[in-house]
Amino acid sequence: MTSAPGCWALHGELVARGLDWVAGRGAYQLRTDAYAAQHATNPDPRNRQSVAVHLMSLCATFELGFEPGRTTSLIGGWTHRPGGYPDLISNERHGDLTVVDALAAEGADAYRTTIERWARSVWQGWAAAHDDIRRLLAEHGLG
Amino acid sequence: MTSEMQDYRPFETPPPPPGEPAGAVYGHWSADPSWGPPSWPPSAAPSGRSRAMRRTMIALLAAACVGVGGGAGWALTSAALTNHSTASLSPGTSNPNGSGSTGTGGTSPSNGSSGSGVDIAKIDAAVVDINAAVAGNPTATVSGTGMIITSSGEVLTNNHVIDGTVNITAQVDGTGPTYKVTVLGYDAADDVALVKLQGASGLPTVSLGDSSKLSVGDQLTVIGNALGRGGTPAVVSGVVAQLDQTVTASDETGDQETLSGMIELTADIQPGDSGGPEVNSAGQVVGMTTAGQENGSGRQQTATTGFAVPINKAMQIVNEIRSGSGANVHIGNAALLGVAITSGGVNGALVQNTSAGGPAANAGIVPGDRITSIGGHTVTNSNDLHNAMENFSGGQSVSITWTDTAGTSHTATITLGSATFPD
Repeated sequence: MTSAPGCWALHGELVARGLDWVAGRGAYQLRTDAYAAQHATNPDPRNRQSVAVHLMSLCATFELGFEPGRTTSLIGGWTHRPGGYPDLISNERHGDLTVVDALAAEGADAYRTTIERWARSVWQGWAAAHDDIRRLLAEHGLG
Repeated sequence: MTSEMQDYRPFETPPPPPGEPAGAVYGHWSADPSWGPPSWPPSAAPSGRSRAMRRTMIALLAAACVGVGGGAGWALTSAALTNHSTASLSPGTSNPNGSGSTGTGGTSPSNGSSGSGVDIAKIDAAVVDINAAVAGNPTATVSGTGMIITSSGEVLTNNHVIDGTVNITAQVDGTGPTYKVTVLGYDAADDVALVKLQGASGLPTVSLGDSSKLSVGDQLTVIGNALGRGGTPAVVSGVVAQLDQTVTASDETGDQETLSGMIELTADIQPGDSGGPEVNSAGQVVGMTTAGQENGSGRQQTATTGFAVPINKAMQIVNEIRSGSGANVHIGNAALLGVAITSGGVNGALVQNTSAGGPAANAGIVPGDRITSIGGHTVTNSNDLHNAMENFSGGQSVSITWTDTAGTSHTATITLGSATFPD
């Protein structure tokens, strides 16, 4: 992940702007999900777990219609899975939008909109894993 | 994670995109110039800096019925020898819907007592600085904190402090005797590890409290090896802001983990404090510092919010390790194989790279080979190999079978690498 430090720093810059405060819980959660799912790198068991739960959050939001942010209270219950989470990493590009796009957004409304577009693009970028993620959600009675 | 070897465990890189040669580093970040390296001056940090020390929190996810948090942070280890900050540069935005920050005192070396009247010197005597080298990268080191829980040298710390490391040592009270360390077991999902100081006896121990009795607003004292500087442990005071928090931590390599059930503490804790005790007013340990939420920018970093594993949960895991069984625990130290594996696979785990001198390389495994079984576990893809490796510990001899690029099958017995000094 040669350029990941750049992503990491840009994400920090994004957080530093503090727009989550005004854009609200949904933007906060979607930003977190988007960044985590877009930075799936190696399938160490901890990475697999974290990527999976954030993809589950995106799935719940964009396919099951959960209000953005509602999954915040659910993720804690998803962290432990018997046998761990599967390796979902593929060679797809996980979304056309990145943290760079989010950084370009000015104001809370634009930020909220961009974060949602970013998160949706990341979710779409994981299309090859959608069935697997739906099955993971189904383990929790969702879907 | 790059394709560069960073440890001896099997780790993976995504398969190359169509048209790219095998072994190319692939990822969206390299496909798009906008994901290129940052434009600011390069960090002075050496390339070999550890993954663990750079971990940064990307999210604070609150439990039900309480507010979500925000901000960045890091898992609190740092490089003692490299002496670089974790360079986590993102100011926190604590809890847009939740608790606010309550200012706390700064970090200072302990001097015998805290403002809360806790006998710090007594606790310091049972605190260790943990230092280790990063497996496969001898120029990088990791440092953290641990607490002695038995006089024979059992030490509780974070898994991320010792994960992917070799040659772990622990120094008591920052200035006392230094011991070689053996890993007794760990729970990666909860970031808890139990290690043993080799040959130790008669050591002072921390006093354990009951984290279930914690309430928001309780004052705690945090003790740790702040910034990996060693010496007398640093002490800061803090206030419990929330309980039962879920956090996702990441770092610049993209490694990440999501932890639940955490104590959120408003305190100016630092990288290197990981694994250290959080102590109540009675001098009892009620939490283990695990991550911090950043506040600051540039190369300045202070964490005004920390996250701790409740001591009850940590000790439950310790007891599972002691008993040799538990839902998420691995008994013994991590087994290190010394291969980089391409994600996925159908006819075996595809070796992308091997670590010179590692068990796989010594057996004759080369890039392009496919590992098809290890220790009696059939391996058809990368998942299988990862899962199989969880059954082994460092130093264990296992049979490994692989197929080379010509389709010829080979079998050898290898001794898996170990994260720690041999007993």
